[in-house]
Amino acid sequence: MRVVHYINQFFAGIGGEEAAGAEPDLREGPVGPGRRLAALLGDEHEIVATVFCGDDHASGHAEFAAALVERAREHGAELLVAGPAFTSGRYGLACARIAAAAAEAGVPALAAMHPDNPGVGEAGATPVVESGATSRQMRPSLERLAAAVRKLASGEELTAEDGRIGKVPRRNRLAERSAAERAVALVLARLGGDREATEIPLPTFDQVTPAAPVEHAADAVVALLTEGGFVPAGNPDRLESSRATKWVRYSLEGLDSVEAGTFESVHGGFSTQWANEEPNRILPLDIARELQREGAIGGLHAEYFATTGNGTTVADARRFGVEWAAELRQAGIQAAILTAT
Amino acid sequence: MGAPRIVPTRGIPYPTGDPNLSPEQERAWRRQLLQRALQAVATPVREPTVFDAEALE
Repeated sequence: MRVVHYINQFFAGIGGEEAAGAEPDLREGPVGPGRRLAALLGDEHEIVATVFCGDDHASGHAEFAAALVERAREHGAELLVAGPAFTSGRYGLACARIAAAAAEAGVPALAAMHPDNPGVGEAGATPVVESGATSRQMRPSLERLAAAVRKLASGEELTAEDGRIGKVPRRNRLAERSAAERAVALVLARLGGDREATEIPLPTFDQVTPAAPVEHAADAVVALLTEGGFVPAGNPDRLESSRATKWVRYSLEGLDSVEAGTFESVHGGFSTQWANEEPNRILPLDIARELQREGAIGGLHAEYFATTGNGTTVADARRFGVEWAAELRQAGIQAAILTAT
Repeated sequence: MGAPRIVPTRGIPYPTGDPNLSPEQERAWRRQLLQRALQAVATPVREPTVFDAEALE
């Protein structure tokens, strides 16, 4: 089978964070981890091309996925494989999106990443198989991925035994026993101490590992963030008042406070009367500046980030969080205060 | 929803304020909230942890 492999700018050898804006492109044959994957796949399958994209570019330009799938198809792709992305957030999102785009275009696809990667929730019904947490686990991760590729290529369904994680589409089938019998069997199993048995796995919510504390707040550059729909008056970038699909950023340079009439909240989930009367009630810039002048914090980030946390999907919210964390890390910010409404 | 460090506030529409207070009192409350938040980010936590600002004097 002709396989096309997706990797990011780092594994394609273009560069690290400084090259994260790299445009999508294609190279013939396997590249980087694709070489080992090709060897593991054996003679039956061939990695005919490698498609890649910078992580920032991919997270900011959703159309990269369809464009690269199109190029993969021009190269005769019969199957697309993405990753492994380990716990790298933007890379995981990109892998999930290109795999989903390929599946939508009729090319069987799968992605590989760690179960904590936010990309797991973005793949839809496209299979995702588990990888290790970091590239130190490249070898076992590729071995599992290669086995999954072979199974998928043979037309079989991937299951938890293949390391499949994330959403598994429900399919109708005829059960041997009636629902009543199965329900009683589950109750008995539960009474017997089995807390896992179920026919309908519930979605699991994230376990977020708290960041290490800053050593001294007085040395930390702090960012102000909010999900309060907080924007300059007039909402120039049309941030949504509910079900936000994006986030926005605005400069705080030269401002000592956020004044009524200059900033407002467009949040659709509560009365914005009090926020618009005194915008520091949503973004506490006046006091943050005082603390900065007093030396209680080392500095204040020159811009604030905002979205609207009202009916926003967990997948979008997770993506905003990943993007904010990457932005703040790159800007050298040590701490963030996120006001939540 | 898993936020590791949480400072509870007094109302959804005004996380860093309280319109029931006089402007001076409200600024003092906002200051108290931010100081508590700075203590929170300087404190090691292992799971979602609440840092009460009402208790801070």
